[in-house]
Amino acid sequence: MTEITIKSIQFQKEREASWLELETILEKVEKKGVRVLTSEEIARLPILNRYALSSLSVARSILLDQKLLEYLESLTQRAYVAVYGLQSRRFSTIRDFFTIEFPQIIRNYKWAFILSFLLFAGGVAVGYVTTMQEPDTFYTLIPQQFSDGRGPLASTEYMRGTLYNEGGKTITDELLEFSMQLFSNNAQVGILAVSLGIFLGLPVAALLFYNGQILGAFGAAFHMHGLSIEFWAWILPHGIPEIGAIIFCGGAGLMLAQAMLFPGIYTRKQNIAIAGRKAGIIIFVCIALFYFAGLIEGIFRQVVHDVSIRYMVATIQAILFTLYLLFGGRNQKVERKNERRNN
Amino acid sequence: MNDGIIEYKNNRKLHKLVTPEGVELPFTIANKGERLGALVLDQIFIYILMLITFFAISSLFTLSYSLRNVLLYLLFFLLRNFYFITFEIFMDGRTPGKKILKLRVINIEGGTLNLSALIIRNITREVEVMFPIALLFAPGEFAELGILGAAKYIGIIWIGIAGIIIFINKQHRRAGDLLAGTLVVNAPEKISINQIDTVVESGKENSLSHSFTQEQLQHYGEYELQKLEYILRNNEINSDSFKLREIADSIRKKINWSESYESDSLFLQDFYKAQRQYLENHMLFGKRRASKYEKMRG
Repeated sequence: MTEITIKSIQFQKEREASWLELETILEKVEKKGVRVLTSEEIARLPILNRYALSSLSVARSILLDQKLLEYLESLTQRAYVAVYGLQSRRFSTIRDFFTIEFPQIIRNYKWAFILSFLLFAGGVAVGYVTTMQEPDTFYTLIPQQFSDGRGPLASTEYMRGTLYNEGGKTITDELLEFSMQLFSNNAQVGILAVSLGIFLGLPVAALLFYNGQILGAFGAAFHMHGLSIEFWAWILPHGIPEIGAIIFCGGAGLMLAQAMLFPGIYTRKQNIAIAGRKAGIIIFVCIALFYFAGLIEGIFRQVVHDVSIRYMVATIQAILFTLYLLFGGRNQKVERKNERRNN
Repeated sequence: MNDGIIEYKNNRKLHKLVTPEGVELPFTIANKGERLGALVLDQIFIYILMLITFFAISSLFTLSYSLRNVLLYLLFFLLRNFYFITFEIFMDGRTPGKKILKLRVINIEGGTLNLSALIIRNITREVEVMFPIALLFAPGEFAELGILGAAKYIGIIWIGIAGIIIFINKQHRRAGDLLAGTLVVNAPEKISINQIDTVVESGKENSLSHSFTQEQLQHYGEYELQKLEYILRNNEINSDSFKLREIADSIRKKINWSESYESDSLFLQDFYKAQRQYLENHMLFGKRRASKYEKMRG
């Protein structure tokens, strides 16, 4: 009889216990998620993960047991998914989107949002001026489903009526229905604006400009009926969050366009992913803004008819938003775990 | 990232993910059929949920008709738009459809899967999947979103390109995946350590009945060792004494072994152990021999 020591068998014996411990924890996570783990297990998981990874690294270079290698690969894959693939602290992450990340992104990419604003404002100016000069432009620009009977040719009473509810539905019904329709319509526009960003920004610019034109045309139409003040009183309270959100989404789209065209130090694909995730945060916050705008529009239509109150609310919003964008989340870092690159 | 070379294993594409600890882990990329299957399953679930909601709300007679309409409208909207994203957020990157087909979403760069990534990859699904479908069936709806004249056609082409991305991309990523930096992979196989039957009989790992000389262990490489491992693990073969004799004889001839052995099975096991120790010891010094046709390298 001769003595013999096979490294891999030795290797396995020494480490089996830890691998088995990791397996048990992984079984639990895979069945029910991270929440069923005790705090001890949660602390052990990353340690065992690194242990298994180092076992795999070593095994790959000095062992010849195929099954063992397959086992270790499976173990480390499962551990990777458990450590990096799962969400924790979901709600505080979402809260951070609003309080820290959104304003930071706006500030870091000011040019995109300023450009977005200019495109929209340009559209408003053009829409307004052309409709004033040539009222028929209104009907070319705005499809009938949208204009709903309003326009330069409608009667002044009708126009005034659209600014205040005089319909027969109960308050709650009208409120909800209206808000929801607006919300979903606008959300779709916002989503479209962002998604189009990956197509190099031109469609986004067009979309922004066009939406601006619509607003400008309406402004002109109401002006022609002498209802300017009432119209803007109606628009501004919900318009600030709503138009703001459209501009933000447009800006996010432009951000994506820039990521595609000018990658900088990262590869194009990496850059798109970085910008894409930022755009995701923008759209998330904007959807909340759209919802908020929809609610305000519904409520104010019903309940608040006083023009000066409407203007006051609009002004307060404008001030608060400006402060938020300028100072929100300044000098705060979002806590990130397990990131290898800066993004 | 990928240098453009696609590696395969069992006819499936692999992605060699690099974990934050710096180790390369291969993941099998989900193929187009699986992704489509998951999508179809999810759509079916959405419709079922919509049906249930419809009946549930319609039966609430205490509420007014228009209020029920509003609720329905709202819930349908939420269902359609938030089904995917809610599940992906709360079920760790999986929707019910993906879970059934054992697929997962991971960060292609190897870091944490961010919430913002899940958000953006679901947002774009509207543009990639729903819009082209809506376009086909209801082109009039597009007027509402205000794409006028020539711009309308350009817009349609742009959107069409988004839908095609998944067919062009080598890793089966769709536009949403590109924007989010994600990849859809097959969930890792679950193997337990207890399932690994040792090639070597336990208790006998440390001993050989006879010893082999250096010279005798220099005829074969890793490839042959793996074949021998397979034979020893394969119950069909190792209960067939004729096959065993054949294999043992060919080895004995090659290495010039003349002593007698208690059994062929024992001979093969001992030779396996000795050969494995020999090759692994050399691996420690960085020297490897791929097969009997090659020299030891390193």
